Amino acid sequence: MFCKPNNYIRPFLIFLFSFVFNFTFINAKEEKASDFSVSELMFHHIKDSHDWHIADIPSGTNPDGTTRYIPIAIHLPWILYSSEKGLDIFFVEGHTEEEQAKSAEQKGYKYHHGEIHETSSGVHVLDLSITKTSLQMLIVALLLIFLFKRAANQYNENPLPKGFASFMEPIMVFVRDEVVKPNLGKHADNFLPYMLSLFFFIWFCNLFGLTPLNSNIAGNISVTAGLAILSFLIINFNGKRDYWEHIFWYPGVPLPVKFIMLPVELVGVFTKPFALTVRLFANISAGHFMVLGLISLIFVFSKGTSISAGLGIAPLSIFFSLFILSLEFLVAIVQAYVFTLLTCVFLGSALEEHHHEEAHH
Amino acid sequence: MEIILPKFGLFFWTVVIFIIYYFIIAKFAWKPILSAIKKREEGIEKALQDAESAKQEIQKMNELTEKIHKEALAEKSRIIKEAEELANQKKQLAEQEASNIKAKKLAEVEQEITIMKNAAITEIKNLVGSLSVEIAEKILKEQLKNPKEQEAFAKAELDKINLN
Repeated sequence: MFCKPNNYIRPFLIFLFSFVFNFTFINAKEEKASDFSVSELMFHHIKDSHDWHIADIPSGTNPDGTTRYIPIAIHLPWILYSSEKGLDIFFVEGHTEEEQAKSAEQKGYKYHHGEIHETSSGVHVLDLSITKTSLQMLIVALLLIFLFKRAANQYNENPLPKGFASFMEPIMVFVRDEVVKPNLGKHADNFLPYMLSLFFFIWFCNLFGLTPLNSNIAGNISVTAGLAILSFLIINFNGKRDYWEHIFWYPGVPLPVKFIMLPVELVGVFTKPFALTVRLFANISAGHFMVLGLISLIFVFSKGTSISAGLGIAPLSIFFSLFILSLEFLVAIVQAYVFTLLTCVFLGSALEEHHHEEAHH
Repeated sequence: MEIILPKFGLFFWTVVIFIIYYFIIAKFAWKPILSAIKKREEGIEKALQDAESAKQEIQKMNELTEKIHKEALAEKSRIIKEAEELANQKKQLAEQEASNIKAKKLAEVEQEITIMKNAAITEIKNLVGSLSVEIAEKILKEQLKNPKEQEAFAKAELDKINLN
């Protein structure tokens, strides 16, 4: 029924609609706050939380005259571990931090600014909860597995890709030929699956972050740190003799310089994953901050002056946030590319074996 | 400040989810997809190479055909030339034979003619001899009617003999 161009147009339309919904959901959230604070809104969105809170629907009024809202949200389990209580899994009530803190208090935990302590002993508790971000990450991972498994099955039937596979194949080939092969050379085939996984994971996490589901995955420093640590482990576990020699006993320089180079190189080992962590986190969260800030302008104006001032600024702020969102689509893939590329570059230099030691002298 | 401090829980789940995701997607998606792409690329490369070699083969065949054609032409002209030579030779031979036979026949004829001529000459000679004897007889009979003349003649004749 659908002629070919429609297959390409449909996803774009879906994305365009997602922008529109994004606005409405953010608007709904903001209307709730009687004392509107831009930074609170932003941090609420950027930060990880123990519930997946998408929006609130106004329904009637409370006895004290304020509007009552029904939240569209999912409660997620709190999984805590402490030496005294052991593993503790439970759900708390409420969607604001105060409500959740109150509910956790009843379970015997003190919840304040994301830190959880035991009420009785004050011991810091290990929080392994399935949070909003980890759940979203899991969804992205399952989505990727589902989509690419289906694509793989399709290759079995027909070597010429169709649909999703035909869209993704040039990207996979790009990662293979432009990112992995030039940096890893003969080791390329061993690490190609990992790099593809990394690339598509980051990309789809970023895209998921652009949906109106109150999601921000790669804009969490914990997530980017996790991915960077994995890269760090891969780099250092695969590092060859030359790699370690350059760190601990820099070749081709006089003896005193070797001792100067040692701390420099050693710091370099740890700055690499740190750079990966911060780059991805900062880029993605910055995009989210920009869009949220621009949308918040409407409410800042309407609270500060009048509703009409807010409505007046609305077209401008919608236009700019649309612009930033479109830019974010590019940033989503560019950051995935950069993270994968840098991992490959670092790994490539760790795998490198030069046979020209005398050239250093 | 809170947003730039990593939380262990999320960090932990990121690592766990990513590792599990990696092993599943690598086994069930990347492996078959990459091998399919590779196979296809190799197939394309092989097809291109095959096309190239087929092209070369065709060129070779064309060259061979041309060569054979040329050889055939050369053979043809050679055969024609040979045939011509042979024909010439045969012709010459035949001519020579013919001329030989002719010469032989001519010689035979000549010989016969000579024999016949000789025979004719002999006959003529005989005839002339007998005629001249007859004529001489008649003349002598006429001239030597008187005995004097007979004597003179005999004497003259005898003189001639002496001189010889």
